[in-house]
Amino acid sequence: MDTKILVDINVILDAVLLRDKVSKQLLDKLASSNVELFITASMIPTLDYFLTKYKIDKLKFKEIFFSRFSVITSSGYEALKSMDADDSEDALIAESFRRIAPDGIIISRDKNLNRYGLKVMTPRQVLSDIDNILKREGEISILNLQKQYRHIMETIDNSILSSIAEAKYILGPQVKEFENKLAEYIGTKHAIGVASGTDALLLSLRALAIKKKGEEYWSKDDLVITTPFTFTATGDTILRSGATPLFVDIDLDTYNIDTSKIKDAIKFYGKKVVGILPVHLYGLPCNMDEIMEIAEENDLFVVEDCAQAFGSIFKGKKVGSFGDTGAFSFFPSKNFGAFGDAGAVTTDDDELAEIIRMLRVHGGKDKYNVDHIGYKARLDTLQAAVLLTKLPYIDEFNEKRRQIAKSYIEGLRNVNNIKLPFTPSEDYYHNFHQFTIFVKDGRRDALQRDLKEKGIQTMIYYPVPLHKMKLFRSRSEIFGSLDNSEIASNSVLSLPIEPLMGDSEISEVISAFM
Amino acid sequence: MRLKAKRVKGGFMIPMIKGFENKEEIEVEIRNELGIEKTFTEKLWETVGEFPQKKINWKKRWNKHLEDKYGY
Repeated sequence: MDTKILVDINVILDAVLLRDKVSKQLLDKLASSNVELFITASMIPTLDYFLTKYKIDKLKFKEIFFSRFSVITSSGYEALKSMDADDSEDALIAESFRRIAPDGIIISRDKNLNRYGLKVMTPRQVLSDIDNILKREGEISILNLQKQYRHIMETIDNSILSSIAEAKYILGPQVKEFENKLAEYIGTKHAIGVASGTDALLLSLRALAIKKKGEEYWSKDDLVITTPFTFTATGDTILRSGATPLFVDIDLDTYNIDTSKIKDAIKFYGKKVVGILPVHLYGLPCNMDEIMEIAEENDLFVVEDCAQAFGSIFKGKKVGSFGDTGAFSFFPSKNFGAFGDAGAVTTDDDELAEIIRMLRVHGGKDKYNVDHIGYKARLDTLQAAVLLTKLPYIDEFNEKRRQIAKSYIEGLRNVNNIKLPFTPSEDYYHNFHQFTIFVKDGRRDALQRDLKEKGIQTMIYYPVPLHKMKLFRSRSEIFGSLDNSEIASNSVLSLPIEPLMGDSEISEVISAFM
Repeated sequence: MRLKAKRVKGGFMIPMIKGFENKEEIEVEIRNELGIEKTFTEKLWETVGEFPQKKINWKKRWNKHLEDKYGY
């Protein structure tokens, strides 16, 4: 559990304007710790009044103060509700804070704040118990979406409220803006926002059937080479596009598809193979030089599954810019996630872009001129607004993941029976969407249980390779052995890697292995 | 980095650095020499133009401001 603290304006002013040593000492301790600090939007006019009164350089003050404090939106609903209380100002502060942090602490000398069912402590009380208050409690979770939201709360709330007020809920201006910025970021001519990463894959495959074959769907005899060690959507979208997945084994160092086996599979299956769908698993790019060379030699399409690899780079180019299309997922748990389902396709191909735009809106250029079997697969305006707000942070967050990964690698390098993630060379910029270790000697499940007991949440991506699932048993081709995929599915374990993890959490994870 | 300074006549004696007295310009030099970072509140103090000279009940002062502003 993260410690979340709202500090009353009186305490802040006492500290800033030298009226109380305890408040000053406390604020310094809190600011230098990892606790999350808040005020509410309803407190801003009061703060601003006194900043003006005491001739405070507001620009500099804002820069320093809000580097540690976040502002919680106070809603109209909360304001109305607060009028039921004797002191609506206090009630509004409490209501707004409760929405964000029902388990939080309010620091105030105002005893009336106790009425609202939240924990209220005076500065002196907090200072005397500071070590306990600063101590992090509970599990280290694999993902902390609430904390990620709180980190950029002001801009996210503003984007969402503005979008709602504008009421252009379907393919609103935010979608176009996001598509333009996404294309620029990935380095492609086009980006088309769609409803999910699954839709991104499916629409890519369908568009390629339309373009290359002149048919709505691929046929069962058309084989698309992919890895079995991935999420279901990679395989089931191949099926849904009419084709058959041809599973080729992975490299046990990278967990990505083994490109040497792709060549062998093509030699074996010949012209039946129509495309390659590589997955940049965990955020490590595939060797796109080799894959694109094979594709070109054999006239195959390439759809990159970039669901876990937003911002990953191979030889200076972002993934999603190599293949005919790149398919992105902005599922909330992804390193770049929306607040619901969302995805996108990137491409340099004008024709593919046009077809995909049609497919996402029932298959036509407009409602009554429908050329293709389409879908309802638009990117929501609201999700586009959220993604637009989060996009500027992605490089910083990816870098933080890499730093955490570096700490893990340094801290765990002498641990027996595990193999740490491998990056082949400097050519690969791994975004560490997942930090996945290989646990030797069949000890993965035992290790997972052990870590859970120590309060460390872990995940297994993926416990069942696709060729073992009922869906694919009679609907796929398998080239050679898939032993590596099966070994990986029994041995991998992903550790918490969250850009907002503090040093103490990282140390806790490392210590749990000792 | 934190140092405990001993109070002496005329100011403070910083341990192990003999001869320094509590002069502002010397403090700045020492901070820079030792790499002492300003605290959060110290950074905020530097933005303040005027400090109040007595204890203030901020809530009462704010409410008075509102009364003056809205004329009641």
